[in-house]
Amino acid sequence: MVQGVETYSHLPGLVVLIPIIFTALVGIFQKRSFLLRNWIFITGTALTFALMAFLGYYVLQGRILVVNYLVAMYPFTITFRVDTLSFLIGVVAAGVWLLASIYCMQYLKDDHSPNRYFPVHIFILAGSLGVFLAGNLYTFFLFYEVMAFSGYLFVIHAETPEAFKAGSRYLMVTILSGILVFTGVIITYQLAGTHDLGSLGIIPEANVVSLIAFVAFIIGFGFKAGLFPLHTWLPAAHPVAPSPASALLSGILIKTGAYGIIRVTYNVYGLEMMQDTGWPTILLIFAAITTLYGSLAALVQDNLKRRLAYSSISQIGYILMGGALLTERGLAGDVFHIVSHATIKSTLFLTAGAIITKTGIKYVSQMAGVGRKMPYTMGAFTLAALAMIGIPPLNGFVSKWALALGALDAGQPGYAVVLLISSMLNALYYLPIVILAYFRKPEEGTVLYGDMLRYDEVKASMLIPILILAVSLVIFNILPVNLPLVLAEFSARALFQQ
Amino acid sequence: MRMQEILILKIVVRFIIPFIQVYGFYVITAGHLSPGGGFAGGTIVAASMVLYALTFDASQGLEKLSHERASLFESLGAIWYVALGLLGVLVGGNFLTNGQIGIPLGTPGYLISGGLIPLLSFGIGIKVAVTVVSLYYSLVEED
Amino acid sequence: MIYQLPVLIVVQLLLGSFLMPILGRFRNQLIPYVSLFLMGLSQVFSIILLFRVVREGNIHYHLGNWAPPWGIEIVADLLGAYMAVIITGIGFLVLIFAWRDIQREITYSLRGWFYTLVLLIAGAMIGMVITNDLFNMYVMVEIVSLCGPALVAIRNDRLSVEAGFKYLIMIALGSGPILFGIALIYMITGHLNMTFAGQEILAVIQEYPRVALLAQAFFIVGFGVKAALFPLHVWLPDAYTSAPSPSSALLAGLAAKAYIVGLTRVLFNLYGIDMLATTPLFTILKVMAVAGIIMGSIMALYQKDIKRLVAYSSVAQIGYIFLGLSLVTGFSVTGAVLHILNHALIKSMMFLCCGVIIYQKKTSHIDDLGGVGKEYPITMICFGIGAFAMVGIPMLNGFISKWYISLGALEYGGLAGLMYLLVIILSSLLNGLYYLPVLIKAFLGGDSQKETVIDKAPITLILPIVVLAAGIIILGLLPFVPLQIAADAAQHLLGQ
Repeated sequence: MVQGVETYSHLPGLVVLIPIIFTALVGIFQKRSFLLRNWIFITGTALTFALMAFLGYYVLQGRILVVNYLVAMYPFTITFRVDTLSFLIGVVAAGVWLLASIYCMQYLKDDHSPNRYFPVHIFILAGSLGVFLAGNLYTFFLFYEVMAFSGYLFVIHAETPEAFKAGSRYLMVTILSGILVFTGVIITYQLAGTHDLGSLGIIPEANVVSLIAFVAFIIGFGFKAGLFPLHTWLPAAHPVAPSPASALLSGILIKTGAYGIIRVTYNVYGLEMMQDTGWPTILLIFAAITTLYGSLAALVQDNLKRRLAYSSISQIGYILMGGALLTERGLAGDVFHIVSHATIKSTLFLTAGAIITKTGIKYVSQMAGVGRKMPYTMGAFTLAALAMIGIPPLNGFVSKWALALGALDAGQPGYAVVLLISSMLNALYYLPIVILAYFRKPEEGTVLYGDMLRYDEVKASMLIPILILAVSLVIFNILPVNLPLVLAEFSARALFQQ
Repeated sequence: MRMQEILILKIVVRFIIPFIQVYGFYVITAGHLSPGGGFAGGTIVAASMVLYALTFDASQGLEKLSHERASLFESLGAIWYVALGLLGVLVGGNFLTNGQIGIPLGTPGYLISGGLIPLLSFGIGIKVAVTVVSLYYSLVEED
Repeated sequence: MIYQLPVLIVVQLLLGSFLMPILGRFRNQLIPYVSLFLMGLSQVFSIILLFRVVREGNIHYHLGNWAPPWGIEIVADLLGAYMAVIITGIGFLVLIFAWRDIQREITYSLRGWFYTLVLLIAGAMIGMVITNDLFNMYVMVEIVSLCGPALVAIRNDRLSVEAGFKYLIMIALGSGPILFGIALIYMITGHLNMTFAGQEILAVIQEYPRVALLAQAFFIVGFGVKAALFPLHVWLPDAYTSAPSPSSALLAGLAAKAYIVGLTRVLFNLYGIDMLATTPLFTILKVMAVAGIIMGSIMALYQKDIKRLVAYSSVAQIGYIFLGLSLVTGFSVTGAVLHILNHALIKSMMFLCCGVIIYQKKTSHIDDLGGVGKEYPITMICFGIGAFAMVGIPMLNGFISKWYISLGALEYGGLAGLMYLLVIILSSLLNGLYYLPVLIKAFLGGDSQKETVIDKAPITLILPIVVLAAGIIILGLLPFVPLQIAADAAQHLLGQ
């Protein structure tokens, strides 16, 4: 493939615009009829996904799609830039979003304020895609803030006291993250004279000021991503949201933080400067701590969704480690893990939601026998859990393998050991759930005792997305060409060009 | 105060007020010739009204010059001033232009000279007089 | 004709204000319409003036056809015309709002006077920013200073009169220093015209260095009191809270800024950057500005009354503008000038939103505001837009000025520059901390305990708010025109 031919195209702008238009449409028509709203809703997300996938046609030819809006307002131009990395994450995000959308129509059928949820659900899609497809720091920051503040509505949706508490923490984190990222952006603009993300390093020299900007970026994005010790909002916020929202929060939204760090490291500072100064080491250390801490904390959680949230924190550690290792294979693993974790975690949250809907069970200790009652759901859960642990041929294995190789490449075998330990811990907190669900009989007094153990799956509109996601965990790795992996490797190579 | 003293005051004041007012008007109109002008002259005229209100009663003073009429005169005085200024604009010069647009300036030292200035003084004089009197009434009324 | 515009705008507003009492005597109902018409006409004229100045440069106008230094000179330059557009524009919208609102807030007999005062203050503010003569500026400053407390106390209840009185005293305390400063300048330069005085001062500065410095100090204190620069801002919270909402909108959005521009003219046009750099003036201003930003924001956190919260927020924002001006770099001054426009839009709109809430609910206590967002979505959404604009979310105009002032701080350089950046960042954080809880309470809180007095707010109350909010968004996405004007004005001020 020919690398990096910049092509002018309005398609990226369209991809971001469509969800916004559909937000308005959903908002207008939702009062009239639920059916109409559902149709508009699905059409919107499906159209976005389709368009996003269509961009692949160009990206696979090696092109980079670029478009600038409001050029006269320089430096406040909105630029979109779709290179391999943006495309890969974007298309996965759009895909997961579509599946979550199908799921949430049934999940939120009896909700207390669907009129707030549905428009927000589509709107945040626009925000996230805007972040992933952004071509300069201003556009990135714009959509980042829009998405982050809208996410608040996801968190407090249930309107319970816990939800509000989690929401306040989320808001605080969002504001802090916003101002820190702004600090980084403005210092970058001052030092570099530009905030374009199209090159491999725009900061001219490494001095105190650029270090301050780097730290500001790391902490700012770290808040959003859930880096230790900035993660405290996450275990409160993700469980409290409705399950499809949790899936999106854990699966996609925190990835914007990780994506930000990648872009900053490779496109703003550039590989050379990062290698020369060794600043990412600090990130590396904290990422490793995050990985271990997340897994350890997950062990002791009884609330299923909380356990999944801590697991997300641990996985973000993986992702940030991969980026900070500054090796090509490490970055490839990093990117691939963003994709795999998105699909895995979404599967897990959606299944958790299915279980809550059908049985009301929120706690792991009560999950005995769920496997008998809802075999398909539990099957998907099991598959996803195995993927998380890293069993071949599931995608989780592929990413961990790449990450470990990256660590060895960088001459830091210690981090490979960290990965290994964390995988074992993963097993320790996921497998018991599976075993409990399938192989234990429900005791007297638990929810599923006796009669309740009949087969009773969730409706198809909730089950199908779960199954599709579960299949996706396997299928790409069995096919002759592992498309996501190839794309991930390609994007890594693009950022490593000298 | 005793009856005789008040009576003396009232009679004397009745005599004096016209003179004060005449003097006040003199100061206003001769503003471009000697020290004084609208502000000082207006205040003197106002002083005469205040004297009246002090000696007799404030309510009697109000009869002579009610609040609405005071407002009216105030505004008229100000509008008069601005209108004169705009005269200059209408004819082609700038605001408040005097001799340069052709207003006859006469010979300095004579009463009818200076073009616009005595007219302006007149407007100011009325406005200041009425304003000071209104202020006094507002203070005294305790309302 | 266009040449006459600078004076014409001021004169027609003054004339209008003098006309109001007469109208009040004969045709009371006409008062709102006439004032609206005059303000609108002034807005049109100001825009024409701005275009003319942008295209062809400054207009030098000699009152009475007397050239300076004998006559009073009025210079309509970029900054002046820009301010004129802002003042008349927001004045127009506030008058639309005030039409219905003052029927609730002000007694019948005083309503006509409200319009008189608004036209008067608008005319005088414009006069203040376009004049090049020191004493003329002083006269205009005095007019604005007297109209301000009147606009506060016009409600005629205990709190308003007390607040207005406090305002009057403080602002009179400010006038003295300004006059004295002017006297000192006249004494050493022999000129009242700012350009001429500026030239003279360069010549005589060797002989009277202390006098010039003293005059500077007086100017800062005098204008500082009026502009609510910390720590001279103490009159502001009471005044803005007790005043009727349209007055607060006018005073917060416009009057404070007019004084800042007046001070800017004196400092930059008269003294000039080079001379000022040798004095500790800018350092002092920076410190006061930073103190204002921090203290204003912190005080706002504790407020339970929404108008008071917005008032303290104004103190912080005025600190922003002063910080931008005193950093004296191209970017920071651009940001400061732009923020004059942005903050005027935001703050006026927020006070008008408070006005709607008070109109409907007769309360301004934050705890009573639960669920207000569901009852008046448009108003609260606009309030939210204003709040986010203050925090500095992209797509809204507050972000643009924050960007430039931050760039200015970085351009200033060194550790100090980074400290100022930190202050700006902190103020965004604090802004979020005190505005967002209000929004959350309004939209997601329980139902308010206070019953609604009026069901639907009249459209004339909502319309100006929506227009201002639209302006905030549009200027956030397409800031080109004001940005260019601000940048050019900044260049002029910095003497390039």
